[in-house]
Amino acid sequence: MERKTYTIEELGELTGYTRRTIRYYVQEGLVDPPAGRGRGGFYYDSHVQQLLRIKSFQEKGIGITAMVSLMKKEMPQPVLPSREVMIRYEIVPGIEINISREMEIKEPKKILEIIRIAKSIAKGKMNNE
Amino acid sequence: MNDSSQAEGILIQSNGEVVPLVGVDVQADIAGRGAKVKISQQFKNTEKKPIEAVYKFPLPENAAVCGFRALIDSRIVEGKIEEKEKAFELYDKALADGHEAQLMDEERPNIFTLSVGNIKPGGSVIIEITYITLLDSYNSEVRFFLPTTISPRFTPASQKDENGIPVSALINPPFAFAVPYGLAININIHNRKSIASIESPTHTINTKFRDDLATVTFSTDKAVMDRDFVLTITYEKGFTNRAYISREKDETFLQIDFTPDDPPEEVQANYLPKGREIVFVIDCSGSMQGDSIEEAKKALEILVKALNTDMIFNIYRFGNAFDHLYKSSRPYNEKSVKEALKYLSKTDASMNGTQILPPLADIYKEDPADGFRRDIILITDGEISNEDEVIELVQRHNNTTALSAVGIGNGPNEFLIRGVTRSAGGASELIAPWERIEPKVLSLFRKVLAGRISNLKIDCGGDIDQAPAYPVAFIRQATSIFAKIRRNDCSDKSVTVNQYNRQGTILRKWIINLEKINEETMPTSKLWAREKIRDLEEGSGLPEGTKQRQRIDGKKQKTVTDISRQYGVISRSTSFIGIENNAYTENKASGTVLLVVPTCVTQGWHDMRSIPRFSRTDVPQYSIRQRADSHIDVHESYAIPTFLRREASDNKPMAPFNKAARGIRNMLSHIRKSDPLLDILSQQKLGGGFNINKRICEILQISDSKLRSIADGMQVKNGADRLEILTTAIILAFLELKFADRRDEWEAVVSKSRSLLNVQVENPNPMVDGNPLDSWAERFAKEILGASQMA
Repeated sequence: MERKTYTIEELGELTGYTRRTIRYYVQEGLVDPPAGRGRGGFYYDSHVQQLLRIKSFQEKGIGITAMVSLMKKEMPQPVLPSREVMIRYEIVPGIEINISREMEIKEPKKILEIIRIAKSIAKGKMNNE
Repeated sequence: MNDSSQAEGILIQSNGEVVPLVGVDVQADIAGRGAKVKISQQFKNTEKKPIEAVYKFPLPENAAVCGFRALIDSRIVEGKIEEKEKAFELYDKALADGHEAQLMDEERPNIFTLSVGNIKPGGSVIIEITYITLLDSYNSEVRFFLPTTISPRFTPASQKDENGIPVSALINPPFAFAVPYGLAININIHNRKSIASIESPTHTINTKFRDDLATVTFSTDKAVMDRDFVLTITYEKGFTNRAYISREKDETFLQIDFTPDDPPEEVQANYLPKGREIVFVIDCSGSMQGDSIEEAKKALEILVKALNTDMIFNIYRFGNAFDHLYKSSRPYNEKSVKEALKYLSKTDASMNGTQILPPLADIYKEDPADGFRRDIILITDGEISNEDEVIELVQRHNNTTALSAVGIGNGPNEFLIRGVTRSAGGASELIAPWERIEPKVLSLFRKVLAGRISNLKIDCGGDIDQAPAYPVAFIRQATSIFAKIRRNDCSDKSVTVNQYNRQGTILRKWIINLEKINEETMPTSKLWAREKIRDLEEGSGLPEGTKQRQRIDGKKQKTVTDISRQYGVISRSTSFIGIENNAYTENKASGTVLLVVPTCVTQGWHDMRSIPRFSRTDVPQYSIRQRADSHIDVHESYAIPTFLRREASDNKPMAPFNKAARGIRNMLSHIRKSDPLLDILSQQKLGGGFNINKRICEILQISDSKLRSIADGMQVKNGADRLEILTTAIILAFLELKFADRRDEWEAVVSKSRSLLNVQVENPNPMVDGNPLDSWAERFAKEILGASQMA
């Protein structure tokens, strides 16, 4: 099914905001930019929802400045996808150490030493038990 | 300070941003009080993509902005007026379609937002904005005022967003410590033979005289846009009542320039109450830090000393919170003055925000005592964004309390100062930091004491639409009243201005002959439209004391829009829009880059960029006070440090920059000496009498021992101080003769001296050398002045 799109005029009619106000919210990052290029872009239902959410805040008497700080608090901090490659060393079954590839390349001897000591500690401990 | 800093929540930008505004050029023509001003702003796109430049800038709040056009290459795009949201739609759509478009919105009567969209890469656009206005005048002096910077406005947390957009975003531009663009001016003052002097208390200027014109420019190519530009023109003759009738298209308009004189005593007694309560309100918010708070304290000290012993008074100071000297006003006496001065000495601008409503509400919560009329005198830079709320509050109480205001600083909020005093039936003065405070404050005080002349109606025998509907006038100050004639049944010979009392009977009337004009430069229709729009926007078209101010509703807004469109004058409900249909694919394809022009932080704001008093080299300077009918071209400029202008000082002035022109030495020697008038006034005692000291004896050219021996021979009543009575009589006679042209500065101050003396000179009049005291004093003063002239 094709995704429904709206022009800025239609968005204004649906939400009751003027064109000027919608442009301001987009400029301030309160509403996502339109899809497509520049001012001639179009909007989706998600834009309608964003504007209606702003409206519900305003109906509770919350102004834009207060809303921006509220939204910042509410918004979960984005988790950045990790680009690091980790090398996994199993010390003993159930215990492992992850070392970044960068670190491994940089300090190979130190890493090997850490693994060796870790193994000896883990084995020793296991043996004591 | 680092690249950027934060002050009161206002981000000060670092330098190095791309600024598309290249420069601002102002061309003005002034004739009498009328001024036509064209402002040209040049924008250039140095980016590789099309840009949208957005620039917030100030204009005088009473300007009738009636022209807007864009010069793009060799093409001219004439702007037209449209309803505000409709104009934005047209602009936005034009940009989306890749056209070049320009939009100008009025955010406040003194703050405008210009958007110049889709300037091509490498392209430039010049925006020309034209306004007409009638300049403020008092006696024979007019004041040309051009704001150049917007000072950051404080927005109270309670202030509602406007159409979902925070107010601070509408009126506060981004700020920078320095901007790459500057201001150039070229001001032609017509009929030069009528001009006595031209001065600027804010900038160094050059004045050239040619044919019928005096032309003023800055002495440097460009001035930094960090402070308002003020030009004071003094004419040979003061303004008198004038009335004009003009026919424009199919309509007829009246313009009455009304400059009332002192009312006859019997009339004055009718409308001036016996008791006066004066409440001073001083702004101690953060924006007043630095120069402004010192100016304000000095103004207030002068005013406190000028009060009369039959008055009651109080002082409030405010910022985020407020406090007061007394819970309620107290009589003016030695004890209260001492307490007031002590309170003032502990006052500084450390009260953060600018919450102006709570102290005013506290004053208004009780009516003035029976038989008392209350005047509030507000001293502020007015840097707030909730002007409408303040205007509404003071208007509700204007039948019991008038509010007058002194605007301080390099960029005070003129809309607040003028708007609030207009609504509260008060007087206002804007004082640039380089102007002498005393005369301004004392002349305001004189207006406050003399009271407003309100409930004025034009009568020309027919049906008219008057704007402002309820004008407020003050003696010797020109106030313009306009009218559109609805039916052509009015006299074209003369017009009557009637002043009514609250019962609807006529108190005074002025009959003024009508002069026919055919004015194309300053069309009366546009000036009428500006006033009419203001009446509707501010709700000031309502009688005094109207409890329910009608906020601008849909119907009124439509009326404003209709008037604005019909007469081509911008309003808060309309915008100027210009579109050049020259879409090119690059615009549409790549979108535009938004570049917001930063505004230079006002000099002295928050104590930032405040200038050290003694080491500066870029001080604003007076032009040479030059008679306009002289044939000497004046090019020389020189620096006069602040301390020389402000107060008596024995310090030597800075050396002139250039070779001195004729008259400079005289002027400098005049400035170097202390001002004898202020020296006299500063010796006034609370009861109105005068102290005798060495300086007074020097001015009056009489020795202390001689004065005492004359006084010893006098008979006075009630065991009064003979010496004090004698000195007071001489000083009053001396002021009348020597300082008649500066009456506004001393008249209000010495009213208590007159009262003191009147008690004594009523029968029996004390005799001096066989003559009554008053006539002896007058002869004595004449002798002193005669002797000094001979010398």
